Amino acid sequence: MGILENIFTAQFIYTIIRVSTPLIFASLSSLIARRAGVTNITIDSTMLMSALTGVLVSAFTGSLWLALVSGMVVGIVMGIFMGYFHIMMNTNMILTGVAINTFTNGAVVMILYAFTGDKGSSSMINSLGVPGLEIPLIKDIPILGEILSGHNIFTYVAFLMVIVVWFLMYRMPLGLRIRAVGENSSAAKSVGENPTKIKLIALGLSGFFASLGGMYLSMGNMQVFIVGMTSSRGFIGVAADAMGQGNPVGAMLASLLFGSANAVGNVLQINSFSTDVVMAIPYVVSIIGIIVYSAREKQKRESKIKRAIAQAEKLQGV
Amino acid sequence: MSNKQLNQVFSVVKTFLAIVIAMVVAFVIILVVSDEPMEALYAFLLGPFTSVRRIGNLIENTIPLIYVGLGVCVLWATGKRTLSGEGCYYFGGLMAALASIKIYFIHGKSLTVTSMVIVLVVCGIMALLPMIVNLKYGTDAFVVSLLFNYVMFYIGNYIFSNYLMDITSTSSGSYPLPTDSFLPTLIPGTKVNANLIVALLMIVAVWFFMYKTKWGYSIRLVGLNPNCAKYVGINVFAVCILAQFIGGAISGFGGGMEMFGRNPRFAWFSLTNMGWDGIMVATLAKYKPQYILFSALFLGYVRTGADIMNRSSDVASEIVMIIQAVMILFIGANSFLAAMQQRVRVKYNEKAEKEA
Repeated sequence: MGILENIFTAQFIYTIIRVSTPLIFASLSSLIARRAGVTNITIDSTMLMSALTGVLVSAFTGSLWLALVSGMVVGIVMGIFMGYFHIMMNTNMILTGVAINTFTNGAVVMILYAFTGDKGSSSMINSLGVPGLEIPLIKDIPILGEILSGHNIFTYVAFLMVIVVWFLMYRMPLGLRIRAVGENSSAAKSVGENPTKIKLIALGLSGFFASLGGMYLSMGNMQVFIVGMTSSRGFIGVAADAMGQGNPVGAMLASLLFGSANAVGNVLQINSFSTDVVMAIPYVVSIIGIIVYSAREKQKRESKIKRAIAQAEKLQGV
Repeated sequence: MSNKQLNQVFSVVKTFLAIVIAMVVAFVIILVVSDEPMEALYAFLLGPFTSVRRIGNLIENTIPLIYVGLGVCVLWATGKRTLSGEGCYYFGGLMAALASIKIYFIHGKSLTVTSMVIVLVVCGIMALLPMIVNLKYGTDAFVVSLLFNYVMFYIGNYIFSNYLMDITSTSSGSYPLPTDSFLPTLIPGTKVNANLIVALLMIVAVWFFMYKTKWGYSIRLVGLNPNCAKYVGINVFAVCILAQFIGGAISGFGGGMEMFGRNPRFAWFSLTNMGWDGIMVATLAKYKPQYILFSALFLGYVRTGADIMNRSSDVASEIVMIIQAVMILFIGANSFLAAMQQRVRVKYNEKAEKEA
């Protein structure tokens, strides 16, 4: 019963939250872009670039704040850069994404090599990290304290950002504009909005959240940058957002599901189980989730049309 | 000059300019990064042609790019863009290894053929799911195919680690593939084998299919205008499924052929990224199968050159990714040179009106 003993512990739930943190950032990043009508597939590379920026700036300036700010700026710039090529230069979304991903994967190695002389990781230089946080009262509660307290600050920021994004999307004019542009760009334009500007802002925000996720990996979870350390978390973020149906809370829950599968996979691996099946579960679940959701939407649309036709026939009959 | 000719001219000019811009960017980076830039440039540009082995490398690098490029040409021809090539390429390699190692009652070249037929069918079927749910329920084909690639990888990795992993060997990988199933080598001293001929034939076959058969024409018509295709009585569902099947099968075929000769063991521990490379090859070729050979050769050339530069100078080979990215950005950018094209078009039309 080694597996179950390993799973039903406070430590395990703590791990789930830790593993899910970058996924939450990535899913929020995807959410804002997708709500503005752009499928952002550059999240993964944006995370990687910000992770590297944070590490290098903190190592060479010794300032944590400067590192965080420059990481965020790089993220925002990458988001807007994608927007520039996709929206202003009228490039296909997928092509822009492929180009930016390829560019970043190459540039990251070249920059790392230029600054540290190493092509794999930044272990040659000493970079700073964001510390963990013990929450005063909660940490004394027996099990809950073990689960909730002592996480990295980024983790608390991630959950805070879920609320912020929800507020932004549903309670603020900018969120309404983003949703309007995403649903019908022409209609938004007809009432005097500037879709290009709003999409660029949304992509900038998307890049901002991706940068937080990236910096968590290299400055929170670990204090070193490793090439490929995002290991497709950006794409998992897109999946989590698709599964959450564009709702920040849904995206968070989906991220936690992906994180759980990851954590269970790790436990199974220790117990020499095949991890592949477990690792595949979140993808299968989200594919099914997306299919069920769109099937239901389609059914709704069709029944609406049927009702309208029936009504029209009735009116004609009279 | 008619509008069509003008478009063609600008398409060529744009592609050429994109390559030039990318190469200039690369040169600038090399000049900045390297202590001995001239040697690095020499290795990069001429390195691939300095020995038979290196030319062999160039051709070896080109062949898989041809397959994935052709795969994307067909996958994207219906206008519904999926990423299935990535998963199929991986799965093709895996299925080829699985079939040739586990089928013990067939030997020699007939084993190769049998394995490749299995690869074609399995990879074609594996590519269908994103398209079927897209057509039936209107789900985003791109996102579903992206996710399904990971599912394919984990299924593949499960098969690999449970049925093919050779624990006794020092090099981590599958059991060695039977050597009598390997393809004959064409150029002695290199690993260039009969796969090259198959790849060239595949280009001709895909071109013929897309431009000279009824099905290929239907696929292209659906890509141009699905509503029109529906109106003239084309079964859009069947056509999309067919394109997806063929595209996936070709991508998988490329992965499978890599196994016979170039790799004695199957040793892919992650997705290969070849699906994304295929998008680049196909974009560079303007999604036309007849140009795939050139775009694949070009990408194979810059990659081989970058590899050689990496080994003989202080510039990292990753510079090749920056070249590719810049190229794709400018070729894909529809607004790049659009204003100039418009001006030229207006000028020609005015001239034509005056003459008339």
